[in-house]
Amino acid sequence: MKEGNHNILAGLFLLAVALVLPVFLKNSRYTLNILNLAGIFVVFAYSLNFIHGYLGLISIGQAGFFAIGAYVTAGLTMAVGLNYFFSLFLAATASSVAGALIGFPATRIRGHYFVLITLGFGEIVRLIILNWNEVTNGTNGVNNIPPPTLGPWAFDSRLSYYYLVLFFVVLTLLVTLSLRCSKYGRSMLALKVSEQAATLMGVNPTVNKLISFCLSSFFAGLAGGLYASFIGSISPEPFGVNLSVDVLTMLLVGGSGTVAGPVVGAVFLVVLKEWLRFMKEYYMIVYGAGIVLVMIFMPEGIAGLVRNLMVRLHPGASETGGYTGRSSRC
Amino acid sequence: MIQEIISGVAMGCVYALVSFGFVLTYNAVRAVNFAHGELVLFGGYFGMIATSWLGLSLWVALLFSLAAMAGVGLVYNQAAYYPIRQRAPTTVIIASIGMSIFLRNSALAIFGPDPLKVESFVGDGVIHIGSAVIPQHHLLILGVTLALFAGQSFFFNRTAIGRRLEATAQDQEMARLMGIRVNRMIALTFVLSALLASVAGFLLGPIWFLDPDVGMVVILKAFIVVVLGGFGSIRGILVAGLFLGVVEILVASHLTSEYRDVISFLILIAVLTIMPRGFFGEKIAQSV
Repeated sequence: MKEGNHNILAGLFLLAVALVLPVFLKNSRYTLNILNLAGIFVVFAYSLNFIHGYLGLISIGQAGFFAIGAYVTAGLTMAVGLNYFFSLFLAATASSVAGALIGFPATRIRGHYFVLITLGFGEIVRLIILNWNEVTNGTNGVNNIPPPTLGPWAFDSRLSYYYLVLFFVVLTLLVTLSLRCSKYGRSMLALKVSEQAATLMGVNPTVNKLISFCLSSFFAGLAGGLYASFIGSISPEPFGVNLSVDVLTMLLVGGSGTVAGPVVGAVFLVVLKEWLRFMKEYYMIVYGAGIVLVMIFMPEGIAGLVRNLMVRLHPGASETGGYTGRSSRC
Repeated sequence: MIQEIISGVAMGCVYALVSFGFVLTYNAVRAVNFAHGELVLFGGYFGMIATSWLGLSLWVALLFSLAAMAGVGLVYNQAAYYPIRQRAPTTVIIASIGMSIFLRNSALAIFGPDPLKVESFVGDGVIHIGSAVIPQHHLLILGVTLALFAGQSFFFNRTAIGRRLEATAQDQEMARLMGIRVNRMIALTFVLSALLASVAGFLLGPIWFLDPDVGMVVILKAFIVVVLGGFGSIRGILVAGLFLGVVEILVASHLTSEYRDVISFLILIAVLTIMPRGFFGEKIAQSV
């Protein structure tokens, strides 16, 4: 059997597990809450993967797109009265437009300058949300955001919300996988390895980077819209640099540029945060030190670590899940 | 107006000092140190520990803070740079973000969230010039900054150790071939950077108060200053720091105080887009 089929089978098996998992947890509202939050962060981590995994660029303004998605979704459903899913789509599109606007100057620069431009963008969004009282209600934020509805159904229970989030996780995953096999995904990966060589081979860096930013900000906005209706109230406070750093950490701990990485990283860190709650204010100290240790001891993240172990255990078997490996067939 | 400009200049000097320490490590290892803001914060906190907790005089407190920060610089180098010095710059950047989180939350656990005041060497006195009332501390900031920026040119061009540091920053391989112990020079750069952070924290404490989030605020300002000045340029930093300090205070008092920082970040993005070399610096498209 071909290796590609193995991966598809493994994916379908995991999807089946995800579908039946809540049956065993039906009575645990707490566990479902954590799973829902983890799912939203999986989408968020995949959004950053479009930039970091495909182009090798670091963004620490991702919270800005997340915040745009959250506020526009809340505004369109509550103030305008649009259907939730239509609002969510418009919010993600608005976020994507912002991504294109910031992406245009950002395509011209690299390295730490790109990091700084995204940082500046994230801060601008946060400060506008904080100060534009007439629209965003300032520090008080927006409260009582209604649960999503679709025709006669309302996603008002944690269980129904779980399946909603799962749907978007699978959607994001499918987009990631199909991008990987498309002309654009391959062009982006070529740009990541060497911009000069890729450009010489006829890859247009500006167009490909813009597509990557638009995709990234679209899914970050989508995650924000899901977050807004999941939490039910939003305020500027959580959308700072810390959130951008959080999602970057999830991606890197999981393994950037791999299919499984964003899922592994987001679920691992959301759950870890819950487990470490007993440490209270010391939690973030451990978290910061943990990031440094991960960078020192496993710079390719958990997915990279597992992959290296597999290669070591079965020499000869090619690596799986990597974009740039020999086996990245489509 | 004069009063506003003097306050802006004082603030700008602090920005320039923060950026100075930040750029030293950047020039030496070509990686952005996100934890530099927290180093400034700890410089101020060590001063506060020495004066308020241990009851030492201010000058002794300054020595205490400098000594403690030199240690922090060494430990920082050993923990978050030396083990990953061969890896990609992104790895080093992320490790510095981790250090930033670690230090900020350590500060929160040790000192609590409330703003704490650091005493000034010149007290709370003011000087009247015409209608303007100028705190003496602002003049102290200006004097110290100018002295340090004048001294750095002497240090890096005229002393043996300074030239070795400069050679390491320019080309590590070449410096190694010339018999310079590159790893030691880099460790020394981290120490110097931490010492500058200590001075910046000491000067910042009396005008801003210290709370755990101050580090994040000043590092964001330092990024703007460093980009405006042209990444890596030290004289550019002084000009850009003063520029940003004055612009911010004029914007805050005449245009809008809520959106002051939005305007600062828009300046950052505009400079990166339109004038990517900054006032005096390297070409952005070429540096990775």
